[in-house]
Amino acid sequence: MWFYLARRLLSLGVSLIAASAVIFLVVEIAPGDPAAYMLGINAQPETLAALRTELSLDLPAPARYWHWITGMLGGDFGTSYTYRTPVADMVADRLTVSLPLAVMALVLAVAVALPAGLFAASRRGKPGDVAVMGAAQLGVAVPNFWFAMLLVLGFAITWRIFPSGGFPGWDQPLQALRALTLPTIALALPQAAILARVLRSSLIDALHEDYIRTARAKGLTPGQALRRHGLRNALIPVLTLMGLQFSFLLAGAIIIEQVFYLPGLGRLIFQSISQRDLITVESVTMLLVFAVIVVNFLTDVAYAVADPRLRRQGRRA
Amino acid sequence: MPHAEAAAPLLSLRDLSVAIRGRGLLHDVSLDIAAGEVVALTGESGSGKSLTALATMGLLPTRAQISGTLRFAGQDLLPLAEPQRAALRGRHMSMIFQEPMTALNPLQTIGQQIAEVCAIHRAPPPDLAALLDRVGLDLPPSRYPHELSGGQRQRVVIAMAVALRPKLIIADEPTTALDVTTQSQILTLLKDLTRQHGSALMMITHDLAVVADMADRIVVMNKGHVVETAPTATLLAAPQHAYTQSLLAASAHRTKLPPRAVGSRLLAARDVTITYPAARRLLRGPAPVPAVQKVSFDIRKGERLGLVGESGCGKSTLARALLGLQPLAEGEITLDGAAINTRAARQRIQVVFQDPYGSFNPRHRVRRLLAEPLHLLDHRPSRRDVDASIARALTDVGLSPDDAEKHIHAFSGGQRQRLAIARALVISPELIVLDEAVSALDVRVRAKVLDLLADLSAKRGLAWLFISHDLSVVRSVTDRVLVMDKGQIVEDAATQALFDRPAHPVTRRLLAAAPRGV
Repeated sequence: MWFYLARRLLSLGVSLIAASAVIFLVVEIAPGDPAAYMLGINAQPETLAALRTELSLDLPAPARYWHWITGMLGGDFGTSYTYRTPVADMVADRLTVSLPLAVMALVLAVAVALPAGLFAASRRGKPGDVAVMGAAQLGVAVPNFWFAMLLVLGFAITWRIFPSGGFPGWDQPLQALRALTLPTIALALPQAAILARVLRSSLIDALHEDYIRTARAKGLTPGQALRRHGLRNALIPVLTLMGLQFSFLLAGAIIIEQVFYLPGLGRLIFQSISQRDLITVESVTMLLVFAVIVVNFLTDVAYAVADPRLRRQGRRA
Repeated sequence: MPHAEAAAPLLSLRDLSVAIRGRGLLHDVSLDIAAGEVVALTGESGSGKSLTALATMGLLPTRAQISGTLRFAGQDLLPLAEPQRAALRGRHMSMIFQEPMTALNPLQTIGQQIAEVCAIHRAPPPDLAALLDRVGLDLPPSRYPHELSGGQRQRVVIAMAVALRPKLIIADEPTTALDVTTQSQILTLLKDLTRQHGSALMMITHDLAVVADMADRIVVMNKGHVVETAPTATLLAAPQHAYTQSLLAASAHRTKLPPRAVGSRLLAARDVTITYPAARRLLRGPAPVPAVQKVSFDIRKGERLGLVGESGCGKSTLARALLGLQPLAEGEITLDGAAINTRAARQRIQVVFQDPYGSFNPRHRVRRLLAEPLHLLDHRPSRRDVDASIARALTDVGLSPDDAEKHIHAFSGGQRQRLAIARALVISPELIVLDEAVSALDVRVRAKVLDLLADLSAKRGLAWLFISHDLSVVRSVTDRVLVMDKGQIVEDAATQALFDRPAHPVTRRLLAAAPRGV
């Protein structure tokens, strides 16, 4: 167990260093001078030079990389070139929208996918299975922004139950939750469809295992055998998928944020890129990479908790 | 009326037929098992013995259509709905399966899985320590299945099956996947437990020797029919049905080897040591565990050598090393003085593995499958020569040259094993390694394959290394036997001498454990 975790931690560290180097290099290669962009085309060369010094843009690349990395370790993500505010503050602000949105969407996706997958797997080939899997197929195929627009049309414009967009802030928790409800649904359903399909096929594989037959020989009905012995075994591939989905939900919500006009992380990246706010792009990207890698690590830990064989072996079989 | 009930059989099948997708698999099967009786169900693969067991348990696939009557303890089972069948399973009838390695849920401790039998039937939780002790397991219930050997896992499955002292226990080839020593321990355990608990036992096996000294009656099945039912002694002494007779003849069949004609030294293994890295821990470095330790032996031209031992003794690892598939930590293996892992050496040694199903690519025709080893030859043979070699190899194994254009699914298990031998023969090797090559075959097919080997020895002077856990087979097809234990060769003797006067305790243990019913 500890050997396994130590190995995973080591790989986490190596991934972070590699990712930071790649992000820094890509931004370095990208054309465009942030200082020139900030001052506009009519800027005086002296002003430009002064600003470059102020932003540490005149230092050599390795020094800037070091500066960036050590700064981030101390919680200093630099100062936005565009807004002249600390990137950390902007990110923290946006996270209050993106993080709850991602968590709620994932919880909703699991809450829908788990019963749907179990239902479909236990009625394999019967009308119930066909109906659920047909719906899942539709959920995978329909683009989420289109689905989001449908939701807005129905729940915000026709019935006026939820707001169509915007975010009032967490000072008004109830209003904030209402504002996030439709985006959560729009984000969660396609993910739920994917999860349900994977869970169903994983469960059906598990149902063919010998230990399910043993369980039934002990006196379990097919449903009991599925829930007590099949489910936990089938969850292992589902865990992997959930890890990937959470990372996607955190950063990939950009289209949904756009549709619902939410001040989330995705929109922050989008704005920073279009405004050449490179330090913000770098730092937010790094933060997302960090989140993805940490979520992957947590997935690995969850594996070890779920599967006793990993605790002993120290490596994935 | 307790008296009338005592007279009625515990389990009674009448004209039981099972069809899946319109294909009839069981036809009018009728058999009785009395309370406390041990009945063996035997027959070749596909004869319907396992299906009969699954039908009795109510574990047939849902698409199976079943007709006839199935009475258990005075109750008609077929009209019952699944929850009522489930209530019987584990409590009044239980089942033990063939493959212990996969029979347990890998994510739950053995204790949890045993206790579940009681929980599901709302019985008081079992005394796990006592139950594990009863099946001869000295292990804490907190162990996970992957920490146990195959024999230990089978004991856990037996513990689950006997936990509630059911009236009927069905054991479906419970020892086929285990080595001889473990097999005899498990059989003894089953015998003792059923006697103590007064349970009836339906024992399914393709190996009559396994049940000869434990079954009260034997039911012989063939192609979904019951062909003969008789008390064990009667059936073995005077089988009535032609099929039973042919089964018994095949079990008793002794292959006649041509006289030993041994030439110069072909293969030499010297101080062969093979290690696997141990499971890695955080701080301590890996301490290698030797799977094979300082093993030395020769195989002479035309010699028929046997290799036996319990599972995990290192015999398969050693076989892989002879084929150049396993790096050696120490020592060397040479063929006529040259290294083993060269192309020249490979064409002189070929191998036949245990599983005739998994070792062929299903998309290729037999001709391509058999031509595969020919690329080892220095000069690529012409198409006509290839065809000639394939035709000769197919004829040698008793198949037809026309079979070259068929796909592998057109062949039965025994025929596939012949094809595997044909593939090994096609480049005329001098030595064949047979790793449990006949273990998965039915007795009648096995007899034919063994006769084929004897024939090849006479015709081609073929040498072989015959690895098997089945001592009676080893005895009939070898001149000399190596006995392995814990990675070492503990005895090396002429076959006859080894069976008559086993010198090493391990050899004696193996011989004592071997079933010798028929």
